[in-house]
Amino acid sequence: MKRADIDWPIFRGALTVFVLCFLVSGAMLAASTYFRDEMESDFNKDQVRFQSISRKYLAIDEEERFIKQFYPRFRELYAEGIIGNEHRLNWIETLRSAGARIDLPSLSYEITSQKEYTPSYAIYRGSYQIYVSKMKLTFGLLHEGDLERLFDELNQRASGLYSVADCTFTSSQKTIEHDPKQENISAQCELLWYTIRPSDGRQLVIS
Amino acid sequence: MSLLRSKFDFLGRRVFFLGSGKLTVYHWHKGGLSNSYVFDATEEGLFHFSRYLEETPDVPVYLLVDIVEEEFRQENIPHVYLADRRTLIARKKIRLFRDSPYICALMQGRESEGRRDDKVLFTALMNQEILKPWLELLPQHKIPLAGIYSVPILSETLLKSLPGSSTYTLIVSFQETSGLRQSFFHNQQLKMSRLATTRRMGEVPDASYILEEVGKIHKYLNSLRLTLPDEALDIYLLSHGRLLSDLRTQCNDSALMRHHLVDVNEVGRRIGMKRMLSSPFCEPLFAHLLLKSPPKHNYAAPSQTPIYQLHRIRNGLLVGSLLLILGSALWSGFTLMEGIGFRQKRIAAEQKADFYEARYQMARERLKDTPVSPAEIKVAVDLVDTIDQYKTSPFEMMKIISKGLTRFPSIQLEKLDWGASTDPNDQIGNIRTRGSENRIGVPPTAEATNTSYRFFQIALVTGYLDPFDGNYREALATISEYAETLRTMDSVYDVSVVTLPLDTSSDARLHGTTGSEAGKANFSVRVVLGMGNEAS
Repeated sequence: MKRADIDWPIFRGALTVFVLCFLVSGAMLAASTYFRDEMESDFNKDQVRFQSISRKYLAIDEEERFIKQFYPRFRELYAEGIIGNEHRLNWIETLRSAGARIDLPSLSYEITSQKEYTPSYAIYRGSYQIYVSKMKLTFGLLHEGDLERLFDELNQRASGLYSVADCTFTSSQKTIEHDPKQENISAQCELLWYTIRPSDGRQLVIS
Repeated sequence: MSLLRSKFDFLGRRVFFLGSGKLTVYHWHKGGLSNSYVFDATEEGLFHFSRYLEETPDVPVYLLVDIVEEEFRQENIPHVYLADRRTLIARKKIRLFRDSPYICALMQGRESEGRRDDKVLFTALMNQEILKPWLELLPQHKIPLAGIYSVPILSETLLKSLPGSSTYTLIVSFQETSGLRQSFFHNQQLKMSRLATTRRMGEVPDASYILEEVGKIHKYLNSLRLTLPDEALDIYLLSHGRLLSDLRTQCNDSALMRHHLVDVNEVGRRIGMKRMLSSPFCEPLFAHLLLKSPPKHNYAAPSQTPIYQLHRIRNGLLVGSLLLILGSALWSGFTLMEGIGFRQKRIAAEQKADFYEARYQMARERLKDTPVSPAEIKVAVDLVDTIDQYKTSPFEMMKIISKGLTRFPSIQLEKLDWGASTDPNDQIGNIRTRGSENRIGVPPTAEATNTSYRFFQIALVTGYLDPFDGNYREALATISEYAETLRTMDSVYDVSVVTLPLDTSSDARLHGTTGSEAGKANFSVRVVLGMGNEAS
């Protein structure tokens, strides 16, 4: 049937009715679907809130136990700069005083900028991020005992948690000299100073 | 006659029963025939017919023709499919009935022998002039013509409603509008039909006249060899009242002719007619049958029924609209109910959440104020403790190496490279290849050695023998013994000699002098300590 043969008045009314029905149907479907989706979304939000708060409520005794058991240590770690912000000035002061106290022939240091860190071993981080600052120490030793004394000083006086990543010791003399100013062993060590902070960027402040 | 012309009469339909001199209209109402009107094929009759069309709803028209000028030709065509068959049939139509636009081809199975050609009955209305004045008025009033049917073709449908069945059947019906129609069937398939007009149209004929006409057609069928000489012909005579009684008394069955006298009301009952007929005329029977179950074949091609096609589209649109609105209303209703269900559940969840929130806050008031949640406090402390467990220093390694050296005064230490790793195969010293990513302080990869130790300390001890007199055998033995001594110490996971003063393996290139001056006996040993044995 050609377009010119079509007697439009015969089904103009029906076409209008169809278009109207189509629009009304579309509107009804869209509106009802929107309403249902909104209600479902609201329900899911409130359900999650309910589950979260009920879990918290049921865990309140445990929270009390956690605070009692772990909060004092948490405060200590914060004070030591292991949780929160690192205490670089303290490290440098400790190094300087340790070098003087041990009477090391030489001691130099280099600390890199702090970076996010993921250990090679399995560890649960929760909502925290671990950061490390690498400290490269270059120093001369009269004998091996000086090294132990240096790390003892750091352990006792420096605020923070560190681990020795690697060391290289090279014998400077063929025979051991007993002059305190004489360097028998030259050493290079890399220390990792660890800090943890909330991964969402929250600043921890404990008064 | 209604003056209201409804545009949306879905179920309405009507039959125009057309004879050579008259047209009778039958309307369909609530599953049966209602009013009927008769129009003569005269100028006045056509005028009234035009008025009728104008004043009645534009419901579809089924034109049922019963005229003498309907021809039947039995033909065989090769058995082909689809387009080829259509082409063959179209050619046959033109060849057989060149002048008629109203041709119908009824497929009637295949020959049982030879090429097994298709058997086709071609029928045609040869006198257009009878239809023309009536059909011309329909488009003028935008009346949809559903199709043009004929009584013989429709009789094939009627045959199914008659009692009994036989190989050769003759249906004899009498129409007020057209006359005496005799349609012959072989195996329930129409083969030919004949219309005998009465002397006075509309008058009930006498039984002897009918039986005389039946006799004539029987002879004609025999002459055409459409029946076998020894097969009986079952003759169904549709009639009513006195004529039926007369026929009953005058019919004489023989071996070749069996008469079945059937009351038109009995047939009407079988085809679902509610209305009782009071005359022997069969127009209402055919009209009812046509409107109830129109045959597949008709004389009007779709191109000849454009308004009906538009009506079908219109009805389709209206039905579609109704289904659309009902379907979407139903779907929307369910969706809405679902939404309301979610709202009820949301309110309940909100109330429960508020309830627990209030009680949680009351309980929290007795807890100490902390910068992070209590669970996070524990995580932080545990995290620091775990890191602390992996804290390393080179002292354990230095003690073990020194302890070994005390037993071997000739070994002089030149250099010590030390590191910690979760992989005991990690390379320490100048060569850092495989496994260096597992060093403590280096982000991990998926590959890490699975041992019971938490981590390892690895050292590369570089030294030389002093004094050395050039006795390589003794030097190698000393270094080997030193390595063995280290291997026996606690925490030692592995000891391997990396380089020797003299590489005596066949793969290495070896050079030197055999003079009295001795070379230097350098060597290196790799020592691995296992730390934090979790199995112990």
